[in-house]
Amino acid sequence: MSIQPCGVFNTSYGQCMAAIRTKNQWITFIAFFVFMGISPLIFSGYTISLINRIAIYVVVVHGLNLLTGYTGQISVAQSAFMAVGAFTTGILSTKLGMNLWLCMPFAGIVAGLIGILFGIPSFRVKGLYLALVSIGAQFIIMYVLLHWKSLTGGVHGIFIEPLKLGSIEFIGDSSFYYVAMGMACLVTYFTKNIVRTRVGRAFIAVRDNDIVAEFMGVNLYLYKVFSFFVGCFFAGIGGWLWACYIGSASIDQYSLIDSVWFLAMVVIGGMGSVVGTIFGVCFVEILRESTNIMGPIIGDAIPALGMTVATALPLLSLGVVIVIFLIFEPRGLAHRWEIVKNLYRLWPYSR
Amino acid sequence: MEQFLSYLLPGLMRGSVYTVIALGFIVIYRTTSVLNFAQGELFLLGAYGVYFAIAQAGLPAYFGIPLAFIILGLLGGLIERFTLRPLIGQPVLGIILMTLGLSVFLRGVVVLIWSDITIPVPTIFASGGVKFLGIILPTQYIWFAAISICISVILYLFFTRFSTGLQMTAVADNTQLAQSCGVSVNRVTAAAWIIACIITGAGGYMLCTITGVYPLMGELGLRSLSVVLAGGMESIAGAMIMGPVVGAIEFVLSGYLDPYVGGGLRDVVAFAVLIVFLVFRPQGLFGWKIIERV
Repeated sequence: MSIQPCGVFNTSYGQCMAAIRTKNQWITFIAFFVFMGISPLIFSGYTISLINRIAIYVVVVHGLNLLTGYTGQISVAQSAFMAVGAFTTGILSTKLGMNLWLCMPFAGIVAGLIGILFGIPSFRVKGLYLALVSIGAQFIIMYVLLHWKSLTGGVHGIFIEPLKLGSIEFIGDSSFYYVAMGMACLVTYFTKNIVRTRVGRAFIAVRDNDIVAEFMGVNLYLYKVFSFFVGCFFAGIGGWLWACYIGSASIDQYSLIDSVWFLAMVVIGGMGSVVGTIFGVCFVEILRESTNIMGPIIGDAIPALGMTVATALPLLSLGVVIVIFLIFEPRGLAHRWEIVKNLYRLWPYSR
Repeated sequence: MEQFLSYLLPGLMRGSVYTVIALGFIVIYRTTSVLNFAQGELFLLGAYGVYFAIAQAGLPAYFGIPLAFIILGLLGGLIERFTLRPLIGQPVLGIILMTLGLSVFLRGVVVLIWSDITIPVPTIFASGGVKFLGIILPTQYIWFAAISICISVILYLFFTRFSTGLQMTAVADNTQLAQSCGVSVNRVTAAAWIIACIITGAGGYMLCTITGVYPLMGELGLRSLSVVLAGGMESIAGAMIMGPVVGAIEFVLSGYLDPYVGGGLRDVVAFAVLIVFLVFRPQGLFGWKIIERV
């Protein structure tokens, strides 16, 4: 954003505000979409399932990034809001027989409204105290979902029919890929635009100095509520995607530790950066996948550790990565990417 | 009435364990304004450490238990030195995420060493019960209350009479001024972490003698956050009073309401208390009134 390549001049406001500006950017953009479109044909089912998970988490973490990275409202309850979205989908589609596609906005809206409910304390407290509220929210939401058995099915969860469009069934990795990737692109587009408009600038103002922001005419309550709504709305959409993907809404997939994973994705990617979110999700998800593969191998190689190493390794690696990033690169992968990009653009004067 | 008492009295006594864990939070928060979300895992390590010393290494209890707590204290010092000291001056989200990351890491260590099954922790408290007001109270609950009161009183004296304790309060109040008066902030911070780890470990050990210990118990340690907050983030007296109160609220509410809501209410009552306090009285009942308000 900061440094444009040589020979790019703004001759109109429209040009100045365009997201994609140079010929090379257009070429990369189109090449990316073509590549994404044909990748189910190239990659194996295993890789596609990894990409599906990354796409779904990108949707969820964009929401958390808007809430925590841009507005500065710390939330450790993102996976609970994802669960709200998933269970809303399950309840609407099984109890009311609603079309699954129609459930999607409702999943987002219900999660968003519950997010606003738990965001209300943010009018009075901030920082540390807000993190406490969200931990409370995580436990209370999961408790309600577990114990409201008549509605949510308790521990058994809700079975969800596969997603259909006309005669096409989105079942299995390579066909669901298009739904997940489509949503991820849509949400990325939306987030990218939200942060470079008035709303996004207001979010950043609230994060950087709320008192000054209010002084400058930013309606603090409105933008905080909106930030909670959007953040949790995306979590709800992510929950809808996840529920349709695995074919059920069940309690055990949305625990406190998942919320910590999401927060780690935001910080590792770089807070307050749209592209950083995507980096963060990819990095953490690939890390988790590789520890899942490495765990049993290490368990076999060193029998003294036993099979517990498979459960422990993801936790250990996540903890180590969080500690290392916070100490050595608190601005995340997005900042590294910015450095590399400027190095390339300014070459040979980049030193 | 008898039924009410049978919920209230065990609740009060078990809540005194929350006081002990809350004191661990408070010692760290008072000195460094870091709220340690890894407290739940330190709590686990207390129980696992004693299990390791007595059941696995075969040490006698009078030697093994102090040894386990000393090692835990040293671990606390190391945590402070290598993870939190580099973060001084960073935004609060970084510190929160650091303690969350630590909690994930420590849970990984626990799972790696002791697997994720429930392990019975060797107890040093006599079994049996005492009849009081027509209710039979387990002897260990009485021990919990006694130990909790002892620790609270010792900590209170430590913070008001001893020079290290006074220095901790000075650092909390104004770090730069304390430093220019010759207080070694690093030493004081490390001392706070060591003390907090030992106290939390003791709390974890006490609670786990009843239930046994498994890695997810760590989330139980987070429940005492409501005690910390309700009593006031810096107040030892607040934790001493609110611990039993929160314990009693948990037991009484879950005793009366569990049949209607399908059980397990005890797991969330503390968090509801937490949110109510955050909305209506964020500085707690006895805290210093310096909360960040918007």
